[in-house]
Amino acid sequence: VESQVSAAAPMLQFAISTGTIDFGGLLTPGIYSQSLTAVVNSNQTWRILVTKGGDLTGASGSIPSSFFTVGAVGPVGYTTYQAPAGTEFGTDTLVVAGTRGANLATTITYRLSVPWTIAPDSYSAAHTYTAVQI
Amino acid sequence: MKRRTKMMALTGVILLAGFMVLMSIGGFAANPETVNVSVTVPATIQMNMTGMPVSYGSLVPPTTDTSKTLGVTISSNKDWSLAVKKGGDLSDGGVNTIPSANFLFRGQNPGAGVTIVTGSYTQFGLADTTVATGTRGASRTLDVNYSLLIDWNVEAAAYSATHTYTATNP
Repeated sequence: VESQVSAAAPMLQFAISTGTIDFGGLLTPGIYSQSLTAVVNSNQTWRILVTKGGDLTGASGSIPSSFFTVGAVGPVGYTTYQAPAGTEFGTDTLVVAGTRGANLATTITYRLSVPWTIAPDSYSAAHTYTAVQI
Repeated sequence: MKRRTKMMALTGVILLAGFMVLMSIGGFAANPETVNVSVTVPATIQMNMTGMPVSYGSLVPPTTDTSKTLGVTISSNKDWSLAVKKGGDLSDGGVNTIPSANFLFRGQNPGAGVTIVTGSYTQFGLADTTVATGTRGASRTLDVNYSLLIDWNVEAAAYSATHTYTATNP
């Protein structure tokens, strides 16, 4: 008896272009944006999720979640969902979803609104991005 | 033949086991990545004024003109104060001046978040006089009224002066 087993195992690779988003040190009230790129190699449908560790927080308080949002533009022809601009960070917030392919780049854009009601301070937060196959 | 069959079967088992392992891995998170976000917001204040320059034209004595008003709009991300000082009294550039007591100001019409400090007519000083204070926020508003008395003791001439308004959020 001869048996042959062959299969294309589910494989997923994920990387982002930077681990730091620094809006700089002189943000006068206004609206600012910064972007990063997430690249996926996947032989199944996939999605990228983001979870915030908390809101942007400084010694004097936090910047409300609604002032710090995200939007995504996924790879053309491979994207089944992309978070619209203005999406608030939460727990396992869906950023982008797509079909299988290689070097699938998604531009993830952060949008920060600094109104006059935000006290001068240094604020920070951490976001965790996770890619999964589905 | 038996040995070959065993080898093939063993190879199949190994491949299947590997496949099952990969299957179990593939369905879970891969490479969680952390992005650290930082932003620094400095103390910032902006002031806009309307009603400048203040030009009275020709005033015939005796008269007290209270028609001139400056509109002040302040945006600040900290509590703030507004002060004014004069560079000097109204002067014709020569020996004639209009007495300080004749040319007064006061703060009026405070919007939300604004407290008038000098609410009654007061002489301009050479040092800063606080007109109003306010809380953090956008577009806080108030008016500054001027009162100018031209009596018969004022020499007929063209007079001018400069006032400096300073908004701070220390």
